[in-house]
Amino acid sequence: MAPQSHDQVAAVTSVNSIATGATADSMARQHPQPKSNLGRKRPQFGLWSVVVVCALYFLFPLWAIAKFTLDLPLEGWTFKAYTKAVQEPELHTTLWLSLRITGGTVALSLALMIWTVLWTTLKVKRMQPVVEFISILPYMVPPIAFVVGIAGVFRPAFPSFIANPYSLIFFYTVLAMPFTYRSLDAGLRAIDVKTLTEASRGLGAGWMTTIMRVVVPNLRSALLGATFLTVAVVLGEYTIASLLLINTFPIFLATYNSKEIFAGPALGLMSMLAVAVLFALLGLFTRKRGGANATAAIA
Amino acid sequence: MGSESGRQLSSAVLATPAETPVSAGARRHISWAWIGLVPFFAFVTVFLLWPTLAVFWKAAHDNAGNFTLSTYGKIATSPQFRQSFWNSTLLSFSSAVIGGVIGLLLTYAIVSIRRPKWLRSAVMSFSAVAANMGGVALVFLFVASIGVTGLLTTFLLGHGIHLYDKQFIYSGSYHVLTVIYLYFQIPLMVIVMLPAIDGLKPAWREAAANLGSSGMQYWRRVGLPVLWPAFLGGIVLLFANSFAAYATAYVLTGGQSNLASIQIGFFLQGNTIADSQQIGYAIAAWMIIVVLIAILLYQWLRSRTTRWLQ
Amino acid sequence: MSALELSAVRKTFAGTAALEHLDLSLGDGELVCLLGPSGCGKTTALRIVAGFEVPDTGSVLLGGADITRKPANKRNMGMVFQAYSLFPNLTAEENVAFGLRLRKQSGEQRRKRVAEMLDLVGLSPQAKRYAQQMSGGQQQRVALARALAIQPEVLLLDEPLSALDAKVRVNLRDEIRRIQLETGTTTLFVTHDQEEALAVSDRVGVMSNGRLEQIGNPTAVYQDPSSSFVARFVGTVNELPGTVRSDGRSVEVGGTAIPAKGVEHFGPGDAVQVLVRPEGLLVEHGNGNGNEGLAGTVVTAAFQGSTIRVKVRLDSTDTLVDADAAADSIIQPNPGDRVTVKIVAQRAFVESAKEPASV
Repeated sequence: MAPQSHDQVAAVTSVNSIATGATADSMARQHPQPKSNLGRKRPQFGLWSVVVVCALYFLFPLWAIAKFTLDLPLEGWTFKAYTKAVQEPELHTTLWLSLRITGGTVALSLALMIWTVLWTTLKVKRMQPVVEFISILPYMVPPIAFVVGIAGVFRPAFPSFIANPYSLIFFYTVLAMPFTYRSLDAGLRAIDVKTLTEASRGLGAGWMTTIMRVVVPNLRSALLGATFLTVAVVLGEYTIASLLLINTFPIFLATYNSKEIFAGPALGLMSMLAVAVLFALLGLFTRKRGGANATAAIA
Repeated sequence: MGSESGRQLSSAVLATPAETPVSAGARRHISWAWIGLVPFFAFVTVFLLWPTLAVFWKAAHDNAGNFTLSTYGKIATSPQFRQSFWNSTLLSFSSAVIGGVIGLLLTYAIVSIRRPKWLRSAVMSFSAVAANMGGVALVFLFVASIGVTGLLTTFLLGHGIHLYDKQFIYSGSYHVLTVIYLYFQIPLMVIVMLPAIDGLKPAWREAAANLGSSGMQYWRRVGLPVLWPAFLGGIVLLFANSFAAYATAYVLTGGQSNLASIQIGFFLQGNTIADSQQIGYAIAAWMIIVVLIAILLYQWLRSRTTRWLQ
Repeated sequence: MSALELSAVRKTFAGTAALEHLDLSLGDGELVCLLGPSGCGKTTALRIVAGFEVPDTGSVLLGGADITRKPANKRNMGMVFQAYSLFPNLTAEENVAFGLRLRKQSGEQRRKRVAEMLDLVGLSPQAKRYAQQMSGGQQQRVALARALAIQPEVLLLDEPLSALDAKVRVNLRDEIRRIQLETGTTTLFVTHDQEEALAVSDRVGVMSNGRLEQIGNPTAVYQDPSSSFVARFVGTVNELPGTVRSDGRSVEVGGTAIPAKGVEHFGPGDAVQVLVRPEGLLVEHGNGNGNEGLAGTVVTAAFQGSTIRVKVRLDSTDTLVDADAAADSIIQPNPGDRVTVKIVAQRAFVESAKEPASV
């Protein structure tokens, strides 16, 4: 799977829009507006046909890939393509690499952004607009152009750094910045961090304790949201990894697909399902907390 | 985001820290507090600003190190690159407009349709996944559907329709790419439009009816004018999205499609006879400019949206 | 023939009845208020009149003609919603002109009428402003102007003041009443605020659980509640447990005999609740002798301007009652004072002790 700039864009707008949507949603639940039907049944036929056509368009390829990989020409319905894919050794090496890179990205992302967002919220409020503006800059730089710049400056200056797969951690953190910032910012707003930290400090806690024991636990939902989105994007990023010649899981996925007619797409389907499960889990975790927390979480 | 970041965006752009008047004591206080932001600024500078600015810088300097803007101009005038930018623009425009309109209709549908109740959240969840799905995944899906041995291809073959006289899906044809891009464009539009359509208060519809207007009149005089900035913003966003996309086109066509993003990739891979790497940087620079303008336009339109809908 | 009539209207949503049975008729130029707690069906009734809901059974008659199934946009009624009903993309002027444009009035006629309406609500200087640039009170005034511009047969107001600040609410409700009287428009006003209802209406209809409990002019509803729900919902009321005396004409509360309205519906020995408003109780110093009043101790005495609200704990029943004492009386009650609480004969109302409180 390969996220492109479109994933970035999509991730941020999901975050923005789900945030406002969720807020609007919860507001609508608190002040229910009477559902208007103007006293007669509105014609729903046109609307339903749109839904049906879209459903066909979106679901057909999923069915196609399932059938393609499960109903093999000479063997009928079997999981052989899947078992073959799973046993591929390169799968394990690249997947493991990608997972480690993901872990590193999440760690760096969260550490950097929690610190920064906290600092701007509590200490230097006037810098908030500046930091927010900077956090959405990655949005405006397409990954393909970004990687050109990266290669252009790092190759001559720090060639070994760029050749190292873990260098991706830094660049992926940049890619993740817009929605990590958004998520944490909204989360902090929702818990009125200023009051909480003042209360904690007033009771005698130091800064580290305050952050670890008061702020972070209350940000659980926002952290989860930011983490899940980061994971989804990093596990699918193709452009930068490809052009920096680092063999991550998505890169492997693409090459495997061209080598193996059936096992390739089978692996692809499995990774798509994994992302879907990830999002489902995210939805589950955030919905459980309900109300404002859910908003903060996805936001 | 929305009006908040729109305003903050413009205020951030307009006011630099140096221009903010502060008292001597406060200035001292603030400059000490800045230390906490150093990690962030340092990180952003090294890993985002430096590479990005380098693109523009290197595009303006030839191999000998002389400053020249001619390469920027060369891209604009050379037929080869003009063609790739034109292709990208065309592809982005069509996938944005088609995706935008379908997305709008779909969003309106899931907001208006009450039964079944799970329809709306199902579409929203699917959209969240589909919009974030990577380029490689799309290749899988569509090869299985309309590839040489794809399900739809064989189905149509059975009815005498040959999709493959000309290598169809692999040809890099823009019609095919547009259809494929819709898979993430439509969900993105849904995600963007949903808050806007949700923001249409039922009271407006009812007040209009009360005053004597029919459905059409309401849409013409209130509904569509209010939704217009959001709709336009969505289309602009979709355009930027598609313009910057690389992975799907690359993996699918192996570089056969002449798009701006693919061209940039060639330069990086050293696949072209580069009289200078400068050209590669220039293409990248132009691409950043296009996307930058589009995103700023989107932000501005979004701020106008929330003005009326929140 | 009444200007507006609802006849045997019934409406259910998903199995629950929002309106059980509603009969209501409005005279020409009358302002009738539907008052009740959330869920009582008042908004549903209004929306049925507006045409946004269709009743399951029953009919709506406008000037004698059956409009039950007429679409909302053909009813020529003006409606003011609770909030956010101004079209955000149009100025105040354009909002007011909206209905007139639809009726294809000429530009000159339209402009004149719009100016007239904005003047009526006192917002002429705001004509070119947008909704977001106006305060809540101003928005509602424009909404009112917009609704009246089309010269509606009936004006419908759906809790128009609920979203506003207290001070604005009071001013605006008087404005609405003034304008309504000036234009002579038949008006149906829905609210949950009983003070509002009593202040502006010609008649008040108190609703509960989809039924009209009582309808009458404000004085009647306040002083002569026909049920305990009405007594409790409109104004404050004290409740004292008592037993009907053997003569069947008075109620014994804490050893004291009290005459009360509605006693005749009960038999001797029945357990009842006596309801009486604070202004129906007199507070006098000293320990009461059993036949004249109830003895008690003052708990708090709150100065309210023209009266003092005295909370007394009665010895006999250990209940708290609110009584109003004149602020300028020579004898000011203080916490801890021993007092006698007397009940004014015509002000007490009796209900069955088993009746559940529905407010």
